[in-house]
Amino acid sequence: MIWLTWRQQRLEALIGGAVLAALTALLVLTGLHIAGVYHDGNLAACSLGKSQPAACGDSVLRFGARFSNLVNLTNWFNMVPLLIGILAAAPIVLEFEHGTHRLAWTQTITRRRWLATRLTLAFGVAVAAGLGFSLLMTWWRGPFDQLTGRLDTNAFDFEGVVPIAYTVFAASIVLAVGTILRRTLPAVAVAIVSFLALRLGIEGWVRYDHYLSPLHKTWPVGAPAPTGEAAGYLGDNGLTFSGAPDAARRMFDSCGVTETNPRALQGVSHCLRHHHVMQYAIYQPSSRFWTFQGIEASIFLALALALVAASVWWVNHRLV
Amino acid sequence: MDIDQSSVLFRIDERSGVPPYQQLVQQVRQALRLGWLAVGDQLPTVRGAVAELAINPNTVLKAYRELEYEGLVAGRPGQGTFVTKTLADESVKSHAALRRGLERWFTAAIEAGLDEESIVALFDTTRRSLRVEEAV
Amino acid sequence: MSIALETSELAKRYGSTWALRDCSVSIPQGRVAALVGPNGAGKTTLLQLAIGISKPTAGQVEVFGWSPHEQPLLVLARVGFVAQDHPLYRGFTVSEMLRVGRKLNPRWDQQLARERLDRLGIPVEQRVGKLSGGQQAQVALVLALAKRPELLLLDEPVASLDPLARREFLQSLMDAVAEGGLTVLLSSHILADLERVCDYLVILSASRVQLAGDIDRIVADHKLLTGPREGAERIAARHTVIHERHSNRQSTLLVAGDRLAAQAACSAEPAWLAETPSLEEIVLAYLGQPVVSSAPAQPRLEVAS
Repeated sequence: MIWLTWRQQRLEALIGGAVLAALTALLVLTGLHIAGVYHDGNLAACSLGKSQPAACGDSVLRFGARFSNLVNLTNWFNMVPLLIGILAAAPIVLEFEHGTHRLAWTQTITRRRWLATRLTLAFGVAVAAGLGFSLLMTWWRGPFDQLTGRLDTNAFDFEGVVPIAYTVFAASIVLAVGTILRRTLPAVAVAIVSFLALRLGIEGWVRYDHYLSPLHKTWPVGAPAPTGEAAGYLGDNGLTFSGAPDAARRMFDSCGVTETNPRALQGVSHCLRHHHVMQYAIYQPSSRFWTFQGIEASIFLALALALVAASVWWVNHRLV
Repeated sequence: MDIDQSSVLFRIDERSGVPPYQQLVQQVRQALRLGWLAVGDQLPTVRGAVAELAINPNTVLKAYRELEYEGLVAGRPGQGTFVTKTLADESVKSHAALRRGLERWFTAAIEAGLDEESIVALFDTTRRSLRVEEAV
Repeated sequence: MSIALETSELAKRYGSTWALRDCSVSIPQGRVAALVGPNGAGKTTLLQLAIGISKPTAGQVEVFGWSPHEQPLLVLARVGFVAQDHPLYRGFTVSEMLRVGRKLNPRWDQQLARERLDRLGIPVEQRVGKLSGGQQAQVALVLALAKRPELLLLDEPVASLDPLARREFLQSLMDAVAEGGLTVLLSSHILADLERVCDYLVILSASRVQLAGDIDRIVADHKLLTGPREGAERIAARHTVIHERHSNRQSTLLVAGDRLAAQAACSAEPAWLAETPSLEEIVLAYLGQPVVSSAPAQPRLEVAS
C-alpha cells in the first residue's frame, strides 16, 4: 500500500521537489550574500533591543533599501504552501475522478486502511515540506528579522509554524471539495480562491488588530521614542494635536513647518513641543511573535481538521 | 492438445434458436455421418473448444455427455473424448427407400403447382406440428 | 449444491431514488450468470453491493455465506471485480499493475498473471494508457483472475469493445471458467453473447428482479403460442402470459408455465402453434413488461434449478 501510494504521487512529488529545490538554491545563494553584507556592515549592533549607535538609523535604511526588491519578491512565496498543499492532495482527488478507487477498494484491503494510508502520506509530506520551507525562510530572513523583528507580514507569513498550517489547510480544501465533486480542477480552483481570500482577510483585518489588542505609545515630538517593547509591527502612527483642524494649520504656520518629514519636524520640534504636539504609535510588539503564530496556526489547522473530517466521513459513508 | 489434430470445427449460430449444446451435438453427428470423423478420432478438448468459440465449458460437457449417452463417443479420463461409432454407413444405405419416397413427394408437389417456398412452408409446418405431438 | 451469491430483499436507495428493490436471487456455485437489464435497472448497484463497495439500505447480501460489509476482507479475498470501463492506473506499466495486485492481495498468483498476459501478447512494460481498449479490458480481467477468486463480478465488461476484442475477452473469461472453481456474474445490456456464455440468467428491470434461473429451464418453461386473433383471449386465460402481440388477424403470446399444459392446449386447438422461443425473445418479453407495483413484488417467474 505504501509503495502504491508513493507510486501514485510520484509525478506530483517530483514537481514539488523540483520547485522546492529551485527555491532552495535561490534562497541559499541570496541568503549567503545578504548575511555577508550584514556582517560586513556591522549591522548586528543595530538589531532590535540593543542600544543603537547614531549611525544605525541611516545604515539600517540603506540595508533595507538595498534588498527591498528581493524582499518584495518573497511576497510571491505566499503561494508555496498553496502549491505544496495542492500537489499533496491532488493525487487522491484524481483517483476519485478516474474511478480507480474502485480498483483499489476491490483488492483485499479495507476502505479505512486505504484512506488512512493515503491521507497519512499526503499530509505527512505536506507537513514536512511546510516545515522545511519555514526553516529555510527563517534562516534567510535572519538579518532582516534582527533589525525589524518577525511580526511584520514579510517575516511572519514564512516563519514559525504558520507555513505548515497553511500547507495543511490548502491540502484539506482540495481534498474536501475534490472528494465531494470528484473533479480535480474545480477543487484546485476553489482551493486557490478560498486560500487567498482567507489569508488576505486574516492578515489584513484580523491578525494585527484582533489577536491581541495593540499597544499605544505617545511621546513628545523630537524626543526619542521611549524604549519599551520593540515594535514588531507598526500600525497607525503620526502626530497628535488637541484642537480643531484650523488651529492645527495656524499652529504649523506659526512654527514654520513646510514639510512633515522627520527631518523637517526635527528642526521645529521645540516650537511644536511648546504647542503640545505629540508623536504616537499603535503597534504590536515583536515579543508577541509566538503567541500570534499559535493563534493563526490554530485557526488554519482547525479549519483543516474540519475539512479532513468531512472528507473522511464522505468517503466512508457516501462514496461509491 | 492441438486443436488442429481433431477433425471437427465447431461453430455456434446464436440466431438459430437451437440451444448451443444441441448445435454441437448436431455438428458432431453430421461430421460422423459425412465421414469426417472416424472411430478413434479425438473430439476437441473442452478447453480448446472454449478458447476457440468463447462458449460456456458446461455447454461442451453437456454435448459430449449426450453423445456419450447415444453411444457415439467415449471419454477417457486424462486423455480426452474419442469417437466410438460412426453414422456413415446408416445414412447412405438404409434410408434409400425414404429418399425415393421423398423424391416422389417433391415431384407430386411440383405437379400440384406449389413453388419452392410453398413446398418449404408446407414441410416446416408439418414438421413442427409433428414435433409437438412427439413431445406429448 | 452451494450458493455463491445470495441476496434477500436487497435494496439500495440514493437520496429519494431506489436503485434496487426487493432483490432476492440465489446464484449457485459454478454458474456463469448473466445480469440483464436496461441502463439504470440496478445492475451496477447489485454488483457493487455484492463486492461491498456499496452498503445496502435494506435486506441482505451474502457471498459464500459472508457479508461483504461486515466481513470485507473475507469477501474481498475471494471475489474478483471488474468495474465498468475497467479502471486501471493509466500511468502505470502493466507489470506495475501486477505489482499492485501482488501487494494488496494475499492470494496472488503472479505466474498465472504472467502466463495469461504472454498468451494474449500484451507487453508487460507498456504503459496501460497506451494499450488498446481490448487489451486494457484483458489486463483488468487478468488482475481480477490472478487473485484466484471463487466468484468473479464483471460490470458491462464488453460494452465498450469492438467485436473482435469482445470475442477475445469472452474467450479469456471462458478459459478461466474451464479451469474450474469459478462462479461468474456478469452484467450486460447486450443480449447477443449471453446464450453461448451463460447458463444462468437474472433479469433486472425497473430496479426489480423480473426473472431468475437456469437458462435451460427458463427456455423449456416458456412457449411462444401463435394463432388467430379470435381465440387469443381464450388461450390467454389458460396461461400465464408474459407478453402478447396482436395484429387484426394474428396473435402471438409468450407464456410461462408447465410445458405439457401449453402443448395440451395447443393440440386441442389445431389453428394454434406452440414453439420454443429464443432466449432473446424471452428476455425482451420480460423487459417489456416490468413489475413496478408498490407492494413487495415476487419475481414474475422464479425458476428453481
